[in-house]
Amino acid sequence: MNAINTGSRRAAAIMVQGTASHVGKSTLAAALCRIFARHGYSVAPFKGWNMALNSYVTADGGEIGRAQGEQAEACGIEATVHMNPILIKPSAPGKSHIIVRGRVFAERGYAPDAPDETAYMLQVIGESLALLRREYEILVLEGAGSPAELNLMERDVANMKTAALAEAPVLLVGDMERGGALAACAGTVSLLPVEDRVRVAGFILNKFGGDPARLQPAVAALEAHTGLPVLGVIPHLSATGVAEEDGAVLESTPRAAAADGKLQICVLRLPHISNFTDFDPLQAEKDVALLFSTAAEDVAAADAVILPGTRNSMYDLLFLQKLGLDSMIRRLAAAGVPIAGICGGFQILGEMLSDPEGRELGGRGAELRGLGLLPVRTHFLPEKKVGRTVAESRLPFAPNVKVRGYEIHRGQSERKAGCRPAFLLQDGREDGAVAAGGLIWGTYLHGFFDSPAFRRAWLNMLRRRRGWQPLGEAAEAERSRRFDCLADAVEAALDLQAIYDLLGLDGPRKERKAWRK
Amino acid sequence: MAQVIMVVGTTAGAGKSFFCTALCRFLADLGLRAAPFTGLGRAERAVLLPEGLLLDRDVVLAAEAARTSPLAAMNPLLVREEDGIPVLTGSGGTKLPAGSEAALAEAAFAAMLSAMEELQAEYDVIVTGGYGNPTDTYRFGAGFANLGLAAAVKAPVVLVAGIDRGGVYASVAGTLELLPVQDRERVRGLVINRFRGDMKLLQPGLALLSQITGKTVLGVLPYVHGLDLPKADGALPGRSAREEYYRRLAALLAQYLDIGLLQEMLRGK
Repeated sequence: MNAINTGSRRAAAIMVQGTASHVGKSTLAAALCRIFARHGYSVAPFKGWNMALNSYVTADGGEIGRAQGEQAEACGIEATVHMNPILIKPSAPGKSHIIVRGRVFAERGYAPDAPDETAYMLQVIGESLALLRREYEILVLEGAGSPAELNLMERDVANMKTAALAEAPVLLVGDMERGGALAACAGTVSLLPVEDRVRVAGFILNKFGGDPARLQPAVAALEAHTGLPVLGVIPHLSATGVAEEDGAVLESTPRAAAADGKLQICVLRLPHISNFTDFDPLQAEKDVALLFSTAAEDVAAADAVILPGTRNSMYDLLFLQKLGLDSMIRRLAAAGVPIAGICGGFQILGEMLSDPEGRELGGRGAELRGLGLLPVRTHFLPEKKVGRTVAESRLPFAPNVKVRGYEIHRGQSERKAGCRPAFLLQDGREDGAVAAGGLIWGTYLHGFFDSPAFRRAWLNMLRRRRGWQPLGEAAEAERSRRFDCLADAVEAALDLQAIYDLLGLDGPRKERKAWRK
Repeated sequence: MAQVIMVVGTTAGAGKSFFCTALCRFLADLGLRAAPFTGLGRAERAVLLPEGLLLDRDVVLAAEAARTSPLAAMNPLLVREEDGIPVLTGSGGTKLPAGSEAALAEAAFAAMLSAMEELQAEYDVIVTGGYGNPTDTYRFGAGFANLGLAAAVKAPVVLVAGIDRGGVYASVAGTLELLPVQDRERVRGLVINRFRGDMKLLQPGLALLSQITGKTVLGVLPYVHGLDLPKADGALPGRSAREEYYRRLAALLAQYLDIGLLQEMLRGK
């Protein structure tokens, strides 16, 4: 990290808040991170309190929100647990893991009479924030959901209370794609108590799909009504490369287009699916039609079926059994259809899942028979294994190919004698399992599809089964390039000088420092 | 003349169509001759009926929920936007002039009113769905297809907001705030859609919202897992699946709606 340690020096901060979730806060924050970094500033992202399904593993093995990890990449720095000190991660029905500075602090369910933890959370947020403010010149903060939830405002630590701690002006983002953004911006401001309202410095109208000139009278009316400026109208950006925060987005993923000439890959849409960013690199491949589904016709038509990570393997196994998909997947496997399982999906592919203490099924100890496609038995343990690793593939279609990945799991799986692992990890451990000559395999690793050589090797295995020519390794869709495209588009649409004024900075540095990627 | 109820939403996907369909079945169950109406339908959602009619799919479903046949008058116009520029087609052969957008709006509004009049002569109550958020003045139809129509036919207005993405109070308060005062007064009730969780936790927030906006909450509808109508590649699912869907929608309204307020609205208040 660029430790500057000037003691009393404090970073200037700006905060991106939204009128709702999914308005594009994470992406805009990543864009601002990149813009400031390109302008020669040392900059870091920060989200005090976060509720997210997809997490990112920091170099020291802590768990933070995926978006903060990627925003740190946009800044050209290594992510730390301080960039998202509190992460709430839904685990079982009605239950969540509370992760404080990267480590699981508690698991609890909804309890209306629980003691108010607002003060404790604000203390944690304040400490991490103070630490980052000493190390960087600019902090780009991100809020969560809407800051104007009348029934939650008192306990909302994610938005205005964090803005106050950081003394950050707030940019309020509205979603033009769904409509009603102007009303949502006006309404948010008018519902805020006056001490919070004065923090709002302007609006950003995001995901606009038309002619900005047509919008101008409505923008002027909003500015006149609220007395606040619209600092940017951002066009709808596709494929920004910044992870979405929440499972809800999957529900609106359109059915894959007609798959002419494309490999159809079906990821089972499990009720507790997690880390679905695992599949973004597949989605970006031109010869892949990726579908999240549990419809029998989609599963049956697939060139390969993936059982994704899940926050609750036992429950989701019962779900598959209820739909009759367990026997269907066994039939597909018997017919030679490639099947892969990731983390919880890997556990489900095994022979037995044992949870004597009922960590998965709400206190009921249980032992369930898995799909039996991999000779593996899984036990659930109280301790969670979290870490980043480099691994070498032992899969027959990608011998010795190196991948980067990360692990987040509570189960431990043992292979039966004679069963080969899927990966060899850098610390010497063997991971996962392989059967049927490499057609069926599972692993605890996430993120390995990001490695182009491995991804292409697996896809080419599927292509050969279709009788198609294998393709060369696709040009790496460099994250770095995508961050630059994103930053270019946002920089063009934003009144950046106004934002520098809010930060108390002059503007881009004349001498641009080289920043690390 | 039939009473008209207008349903507008805070965003796309707030649940307008869902609520209109539910209301159609609920009113039909009360023995009323109900009909749906959507002035501007979505061309991308249009379905071609055996009679040769091209209608917004949601209108076809709502008509069936109301136990009546789909008519051209229920959806006189279909719109699609090309780079923000509206392109209109008449579902029942309505002809619209080429030319300025103002002229197009005027012709569209006239076509809507005459179709509405036709329906009003045949039915007891018309459940009308609006078009987008009524304060998105930069979008074609935001005015005349929402509060403009409501004013012309003296319809009380229901404002529907989805709570699942958060920011529901702000979007309701902001929508009311940006409406001109005479339009704001037409809004009689608020519907909060797709709520998950404990209603008790929501109550203080809703009480504050009512106090701030002066509007009554007509109902909070819970999110019901698996209630969505199964979609089969754009085609409508089977008749029995549809019937079950309408039955469940009406039951939801019966359980969660302020029926007294709805009755006032049916009397035009």
